[in-house]
Amino acid sequence: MPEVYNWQLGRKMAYLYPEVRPQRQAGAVFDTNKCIACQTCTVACKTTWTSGKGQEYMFWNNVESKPWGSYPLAYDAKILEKLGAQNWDGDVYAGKTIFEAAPEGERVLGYLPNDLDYAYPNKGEDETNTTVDSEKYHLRLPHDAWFFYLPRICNHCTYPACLGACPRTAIFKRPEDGIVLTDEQRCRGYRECVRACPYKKVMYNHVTRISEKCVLCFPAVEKGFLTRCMRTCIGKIRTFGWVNPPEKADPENPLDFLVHVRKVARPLLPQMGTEPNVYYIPPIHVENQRFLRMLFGPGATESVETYRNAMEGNDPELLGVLVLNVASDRIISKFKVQGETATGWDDQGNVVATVPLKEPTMVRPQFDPSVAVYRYNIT
Amino acid sequence: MTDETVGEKGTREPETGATPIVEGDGKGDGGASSGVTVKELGTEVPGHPNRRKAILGAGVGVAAVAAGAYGLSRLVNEPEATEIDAVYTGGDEVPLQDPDSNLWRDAPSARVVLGPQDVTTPKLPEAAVSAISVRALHDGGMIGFRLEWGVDEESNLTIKTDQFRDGAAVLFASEANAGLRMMGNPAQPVTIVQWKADWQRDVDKGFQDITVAFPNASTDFYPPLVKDAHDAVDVTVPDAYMQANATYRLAGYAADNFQSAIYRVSPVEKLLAQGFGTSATAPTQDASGSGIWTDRGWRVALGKNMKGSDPNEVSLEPGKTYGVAFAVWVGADDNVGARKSPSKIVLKLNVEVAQS
Repeated sequence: MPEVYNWQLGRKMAYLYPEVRPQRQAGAVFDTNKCIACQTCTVACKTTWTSGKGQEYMFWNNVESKPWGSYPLAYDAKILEKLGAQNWDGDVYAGKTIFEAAPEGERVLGYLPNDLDYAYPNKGEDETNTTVDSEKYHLRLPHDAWFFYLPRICNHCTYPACLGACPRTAIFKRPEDGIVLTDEQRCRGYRECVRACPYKKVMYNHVTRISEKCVLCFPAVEKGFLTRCMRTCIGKIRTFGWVNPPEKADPENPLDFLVHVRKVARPLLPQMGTEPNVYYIPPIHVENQRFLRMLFGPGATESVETYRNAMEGNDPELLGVLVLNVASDRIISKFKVQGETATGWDDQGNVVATVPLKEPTMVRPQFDPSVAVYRYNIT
Repeated sequence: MTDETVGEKGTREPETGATPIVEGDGKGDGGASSGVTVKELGTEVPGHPNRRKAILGAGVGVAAVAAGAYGLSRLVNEPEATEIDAVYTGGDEVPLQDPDSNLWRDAPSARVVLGPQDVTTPKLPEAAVSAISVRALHDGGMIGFRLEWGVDEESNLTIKTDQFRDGAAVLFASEANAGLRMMGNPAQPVTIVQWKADWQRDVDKGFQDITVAFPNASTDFYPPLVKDAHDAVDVTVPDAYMQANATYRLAGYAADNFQSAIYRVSPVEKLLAQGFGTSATAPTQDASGSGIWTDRGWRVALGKNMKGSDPNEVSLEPGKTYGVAFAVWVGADDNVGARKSPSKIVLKLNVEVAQS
């Protein structure tokens, strides 16, 4: 297999094809600290893309509760167990990727879920990592008992396992934006992609009997708009845009700033080796840092500290880029924080959002003499 | 229907000391265990000829139970074929819709040995079926093959994510070149006809919708289709979507992917290929065939027009020799795509001169 460079692993690795990066790569940052698992993203995606017959079980976007939640069931635990020990030597991954660990005769290390695996998208919802036997857990951070929400879509990986596994090149990565798509004319329903994707974001259609996957709402992205799951995010946890490899990082680009400059956002299960392009700001309330490092790589702890620092008011620039999340339905490719506001520009240089770093608040007296009523904070 | 007799079966049973083949055991040519299987073939259909004729006469489909046994046993102890003779039918149509037709007996049975797919990834390290029985006929217009192989379990649904189908394919090449064994190459394109068990079921019973695999399926609605909230799962594909101008909700269907066709008229697909990963549905779909589950395996007839209708299609003429290869997929073993058991060699295909 050709050697390619995976910056998330800090080393070269084997992949099915030579390294060819797109002209630019669509990506996203999800702030797990702000996700409330309202599933608006899930429903937006479902109604847009997967409400046809044969797609009943599909959630190209899902939100699962960690540590126990997963869709399909235990997808992460299963592939992690198959992969064996995943050690890091500092920032360099010392274990094997799913390409390097592929058994003889296989292209990628993987497994094929069955339909029951997909039948419990809410498994583990809101379940804490351990039994809550004291009421004082919530009084300090991080929590001993914790859970957090992990929204997931296709990662539109730089080295997609699905693409590598397809023996007939029916999956392709678009050179113009890095979006990974299945060719619905060419797919023959072998499900090698379903077997290979470690995130299990390629799915088999029961009626058309071929595979489908998240298309990153490419018709919207082509016009400069956010994807459905991003623009409907009421928690405004999502930053969508373009992400460069580290050597080409642009500090004015929101994603590059979060991923490469502040390093507050980390890839999901980078040890798989696919170089996923959706990044996560790890939760700051989780006591078990080892779990976070397993999920988000060795830099997870550093990201937590960086985020805390910003939330304590010490990093207006980081705060600024985060408050621009979903402040517009247009893709922000440049941002700047000036004074107390953050501004975002689109590809054409148009200002698409200006947002205060701190929302103005007003405290009203409890009694309003003008109408002679008492007001409560629920009114 | 068939007029084959047990007498023929009897003459083809292994002689003492012979090394028989067990079909579908996944273990290759075998010793003692193979003998057991052969014995089973003989003992499981007591009173074979009369009983079978009676059942067939009554038109009961389960006759295949009996029919399955003799077909497989015939394979045993036959030498490994290196050539296939496609016998001229004398003008009768090649019975592609009737694998049990007595016309097939006009062609000699050839034992084609299958092996692992160990050339390209993903591989099938061990053949799921060790050999198949092949007979070939042509009528000057169509060429057809009858393939028989043993497999324990019928796999004819591909609705669920982990359901794979049984299948078989015949590869036509311009010459018996070993390099063309799997999928040809750019200089020497090959033509493939592939029979699929799930397509056969669609043809026999109508499109197998999701309730076949999920009997208790329930769906409130399928936007933008409006249906009673209780039984939206009953909406028919693709009709309801066509009426609502919403076939885009069935992406593969809307993209005209032949794999996603709903109304099937043939369980056989004609493909063109020029190397690994290049196989594509042929523009003209004139291949046909039919498969019968025999309770012990499959008996499948499949074929295509001898004269090619698509660019790069291999055309066949009486009196000439070509290359032919075979492959079998066992759905219960998750065989799919390259995970198949191909014939170990490219065989010579001798197309008999057409003379009455």
